[in-house]
Amino acid sequence: MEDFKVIGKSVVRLDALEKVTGKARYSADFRVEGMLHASVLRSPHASARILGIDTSKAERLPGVRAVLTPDDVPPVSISPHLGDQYILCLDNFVRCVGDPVAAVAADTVEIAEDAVKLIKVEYEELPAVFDGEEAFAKDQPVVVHPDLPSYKVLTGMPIRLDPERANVCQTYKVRSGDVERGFKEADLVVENKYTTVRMQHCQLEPHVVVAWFEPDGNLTVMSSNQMVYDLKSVLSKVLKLSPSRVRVLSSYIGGGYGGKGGVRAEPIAALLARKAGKPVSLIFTREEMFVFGGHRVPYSIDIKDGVKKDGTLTAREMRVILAIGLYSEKGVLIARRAAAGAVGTYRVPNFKLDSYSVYTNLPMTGALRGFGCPEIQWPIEQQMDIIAEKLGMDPLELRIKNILNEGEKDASGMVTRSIGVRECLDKVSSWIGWGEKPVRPVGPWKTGKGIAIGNKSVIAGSTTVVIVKVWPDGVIELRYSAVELGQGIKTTLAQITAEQFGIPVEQVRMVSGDTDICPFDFGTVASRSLVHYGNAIVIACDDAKQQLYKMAAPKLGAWDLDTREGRIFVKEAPEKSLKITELFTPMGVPLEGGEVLGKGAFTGSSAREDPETGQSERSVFSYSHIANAVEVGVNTETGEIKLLRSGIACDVGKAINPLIVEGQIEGGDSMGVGSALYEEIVFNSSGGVVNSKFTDYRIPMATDMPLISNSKTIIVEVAEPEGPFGAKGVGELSLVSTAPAIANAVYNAVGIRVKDLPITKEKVLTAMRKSGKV
Amino acid sequence: MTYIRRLPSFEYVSASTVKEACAVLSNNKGKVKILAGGTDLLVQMKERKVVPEYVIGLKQISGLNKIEENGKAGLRIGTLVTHHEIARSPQMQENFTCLAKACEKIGTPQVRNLGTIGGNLCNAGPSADSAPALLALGAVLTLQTGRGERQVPLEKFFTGPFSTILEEDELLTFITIPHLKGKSGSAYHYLTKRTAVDETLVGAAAALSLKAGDDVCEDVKIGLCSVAPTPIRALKAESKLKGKKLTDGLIEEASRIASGESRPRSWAEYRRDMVAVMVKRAVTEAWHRAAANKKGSGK
Repeated sequence: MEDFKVIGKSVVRLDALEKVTGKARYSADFRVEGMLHASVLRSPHASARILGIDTSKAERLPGVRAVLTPDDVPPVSISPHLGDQYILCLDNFVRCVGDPVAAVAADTVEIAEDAVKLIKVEYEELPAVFDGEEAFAKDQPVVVHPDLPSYKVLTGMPIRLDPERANVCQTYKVRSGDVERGFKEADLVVENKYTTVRMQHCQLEPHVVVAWFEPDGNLTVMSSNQMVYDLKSVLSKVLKLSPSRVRVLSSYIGGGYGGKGGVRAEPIAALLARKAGKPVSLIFTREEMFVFGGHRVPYSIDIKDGVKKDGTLTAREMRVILAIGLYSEKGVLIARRAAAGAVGTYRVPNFKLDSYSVYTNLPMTGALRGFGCPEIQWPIEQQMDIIAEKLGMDPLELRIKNILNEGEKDASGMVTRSIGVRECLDKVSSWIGWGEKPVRPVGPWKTGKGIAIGNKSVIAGSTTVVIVKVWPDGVIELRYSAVELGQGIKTTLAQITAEQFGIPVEQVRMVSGDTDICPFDFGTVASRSLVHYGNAIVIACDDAKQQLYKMAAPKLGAWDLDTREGRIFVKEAPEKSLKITELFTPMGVPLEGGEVLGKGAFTGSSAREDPETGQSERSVFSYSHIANAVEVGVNTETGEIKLLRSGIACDVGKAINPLIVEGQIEGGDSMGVGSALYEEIVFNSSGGVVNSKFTDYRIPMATDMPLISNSKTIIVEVAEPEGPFGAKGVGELSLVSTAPAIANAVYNAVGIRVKDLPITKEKVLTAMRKSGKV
Repeated sequence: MTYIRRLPSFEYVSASTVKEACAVLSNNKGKVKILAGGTDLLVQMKERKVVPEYVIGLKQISGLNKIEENGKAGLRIGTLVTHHEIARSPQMQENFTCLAKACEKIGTPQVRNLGTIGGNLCNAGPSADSAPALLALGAVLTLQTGRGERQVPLEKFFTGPFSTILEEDELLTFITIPHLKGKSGSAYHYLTKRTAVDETLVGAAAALSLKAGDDVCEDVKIGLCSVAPTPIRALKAESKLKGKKLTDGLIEEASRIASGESRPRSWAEYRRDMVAVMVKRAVTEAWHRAAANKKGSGK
């Protein structure tokens, strides 16, 4: 094993001290002189035509500086893939409760909010469709976007509509083998339907933006966005400014989870700033976050599995409906990514998947930690338990039997590599005492154990660029555009940079948060930052080192050089060395080249999928793997579920900073518990969100998690050959299989199988009573 | 949409006597709110559900933050006593277990440190945890105005969700709980909506006393919250138990009766089922506590 200086060490996070002392700055701490405050008027109707907007009263309110209506908005889509979304409602139709209609900038946020209430909008209410399956039907009651066939496709990502289903804005197919033959070969066929619900990210920090125009007409935006370059590109399009004239700044972000990967608040603030001629700040209220901050896509999944008596899977067929809400945003991409989740773990010789993104008159959905993968493991991992029971097999054994082997092609045609799921499963099942009786139940409680496995992939074909600067005192500066969401990327990248030069982390200077200085990055999303940045940093550091070596070689009389601790030395004769400082003039200028700047760019490999079969040699960059083992108590009087013990093992390739990795795993796991037991955005019959407050939308607290002594976090490292130091992504992996593990444990305890998330106490109790179990 | 905003502007009046507080109330009817912890009031103000011109603070009034013996009447709890103080009081835990347990359930430590028993009652939320416990304990409220004071049993206090009999110029100053007689015990059981720290879905308190030497229930009161427009007594369930020898079967029957007395709106079926479970647990625990209570808590 290679001997690393800082890689693999739990160095203290660079942001730790400033965060615990309250000194860290977030976007909302940012003030610009003369800054106005904005508020957004949102549709009270799920579907309506706007007949007229009267802003006169609002404009007359003292302190109001600008009012924005759909007439002020350029007809340019802010949705990334499909042209179906404007800054304010599209073509004078509102399509969900919460769809933005108008906005006001005023001297104070109170005035802005009061002014918004003074805007009179005349609506003609229209019928709406809320249910995904209803919207999906060929005889759908309402077409959410009648102009869909004429919408522009904006990126290279293919959009495939369904000519027979007017609300479908994306279809995705995977075909491998022949499922009909597979079902014929099967001794047992198990067919079920499962559903998942909308969740909200619940970041502590809402969406925040401050936008202003510089005296030269250039736009500067300070934003809590996770995709700074994507934001820059959207703003440049909608404001018709050269990208060279749009500058995006970012600061620490108080949680992202994918929810800040889209463009929500920024264009509104920018247009208001232009209209008012003053800087404008827009901070979403918590209620806006719950309504329009993005939701996890609700799935309904029909799944049919064929299996031999000995447990060998022969076929799997899935139909997945994603009810994405009123705009396509990331929903068209999630339909594709869900497929990766479905094929990345098991060997299924005959496989068929059809997924559909379907419009409804409900708010936007999008990325939420896992990007479609937890939703797809929810059915698969319960099916595995159902099959095991029907065959009289141990669910652990059934899983092991069907896990993909290294080198095998998966159902989407990609060769499996770096698959550590078996090791995860072994470690976590051994920790939970699989096969041994669960904790002895007390009183009305019954106890049971459950396992589940899964995967999360890193997006293929995306690019990251970094610049490394060498300072005369040997300090290495990294310029990068990843945002620190709390995931620890700043520290992790500093460690990789430090390792390249053999210096301590303290001697790395991290520069980020300004697109005028820091180079392109696809975005801090899709568990991609570590692998892409890691590789780019290695390349950039090599570039910088070569520049140094070129200057050092004549002095040292040798060409085969290396560097460590601020010195450059001859590999063969390390005693022959010089200090990096010696390569600079006393004024701090390098002897050659003016500045030592190394550039590194990395694009993850990819290969296009066949549109009819989804087959591709590289549909994702890499797979990370996970196994959960949990023990639950279920109260037979109340249906309450208590998580008693929880073990989680994640194959992350290489833990650059083990403590940060553990934090990611444990944080994700608690989010998984929320998705399993508590979280659900509830709508009233008019399509309005009912639980738009933390008092009504509950997320797990420490009191809902097992005691630390009853929890176990295990890091497994099966190296990814193309990952930096073997590393793969971890950020989203950790909640992929929490919910099905809990569902399997509940079944093990009381014989109730809940197929619709979340697993609430009333669902469990009602099912127990219906089945006569209590 | 309701926006969570900064507090609207208001004038803060610090009253140093009950009389002074009542005078402010009476001179500015409908424009005043009383601050007694503020864990409900400030949220309502931020949501603009209430926009008072004046907010009266009671902190300077002596005695309102104390728990004191009040002779034969029982224990007198000042309106400003916090949930934390009640939950942590050994005397409460020992003799008025259900109230200590209910106050321990409310909110989070931050809320319990600020929130007060009087505030919880006057907010009159249907899910107020302290109410069923105080109903079971037979609490009597002291309501004061500039004109004088009246004593009102708690079950006469609530008139609907978030509404009470309080007059616009009236102040809740004390809550008096009579000492339980003889071998007695009490208990509070609840179920939350979703997470462990969450609004109560069903709460049931029971306080009972046994005839000396046997398991005959001499007196019992059962209070419920979250299952009707206001916290209520389960009177029919109480009379099923009163004067009878307690058995698991009898308690089971009484619990089902209590379930029938509840009038939940949302999650109705599950809530009604849970009333039976929580009442059964509360009465059973109160019984066992009473049976184990050799000296009795009475004086």
